[in-house]
Amino acid sequence: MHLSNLIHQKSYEKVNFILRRHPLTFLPQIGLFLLLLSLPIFVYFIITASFPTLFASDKLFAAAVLTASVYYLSVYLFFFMHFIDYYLDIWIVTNDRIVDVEQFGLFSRTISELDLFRVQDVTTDVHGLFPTFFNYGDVSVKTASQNLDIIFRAVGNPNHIRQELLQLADIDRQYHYPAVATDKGANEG
Amino acid sequence: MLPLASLLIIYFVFLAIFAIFVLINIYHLVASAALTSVSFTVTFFVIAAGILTIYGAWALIQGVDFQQPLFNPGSISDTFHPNQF
Repeated sequence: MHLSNLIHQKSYEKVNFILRRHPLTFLPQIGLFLLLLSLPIFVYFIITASFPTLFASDKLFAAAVLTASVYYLSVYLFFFMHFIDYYLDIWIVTNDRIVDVEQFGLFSRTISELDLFRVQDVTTDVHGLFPTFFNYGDVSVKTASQNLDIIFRAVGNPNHIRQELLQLADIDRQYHYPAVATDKGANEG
Repeated sequence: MLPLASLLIIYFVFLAIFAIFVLINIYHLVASAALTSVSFTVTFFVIAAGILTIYGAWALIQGVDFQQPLFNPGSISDTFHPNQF
């Protein structure tokens, strides 16, 4: 499936940004994955040191090999599911709207949309050592409505995105409220 | 008496579940228009690692006689006999 199908892209709509969480936010999962991969090696050495003849039995050897195989496959699956959870949180900014696609586990997904001309306030929050050094953080997009705010979580270059969003919202407002834009222009003139 | 092969049946059931979940993950990638080089690399890594693990397990247990009973009285007590330690 193409992205345009996912967001039901309109004919006049142009995709400006496709945002995902910063890759550094996935590092803890990679660390945990490597730790889980190395765990059976330690367990094997401890068992062979404590019970040297344990695996001499065919049955126990086969059971241990199958158990280890199941364990490793589960760890790969666990890693893959976490990757899907990370990678399918997408924020798509077009010249007309913001589409927020959030994946929660394997069987839950939320998709919400917000028209750019309704955007009232955009706030960035870069909080912590790593976000400061590697320039990533949250971008909160607020509207006048109380029930729909979108937060781009841990995206790279948040201040640039905030500026671009405000600019795009301005352009979209001029398109949706031309009278206001004309009045404003006349007053300024 | 249950044969040792019953462990293999459980293992195959697990393999089927593993395959189903991998396919669900791939479906999510396709349905979310997330077919990028990153998602391809991770998917390739998971599938390749899975195949290698299954192949490794198969190679290690090739010589095992799976017709022997899973439990026979005395085998556990023999394994953990005080003389073994």
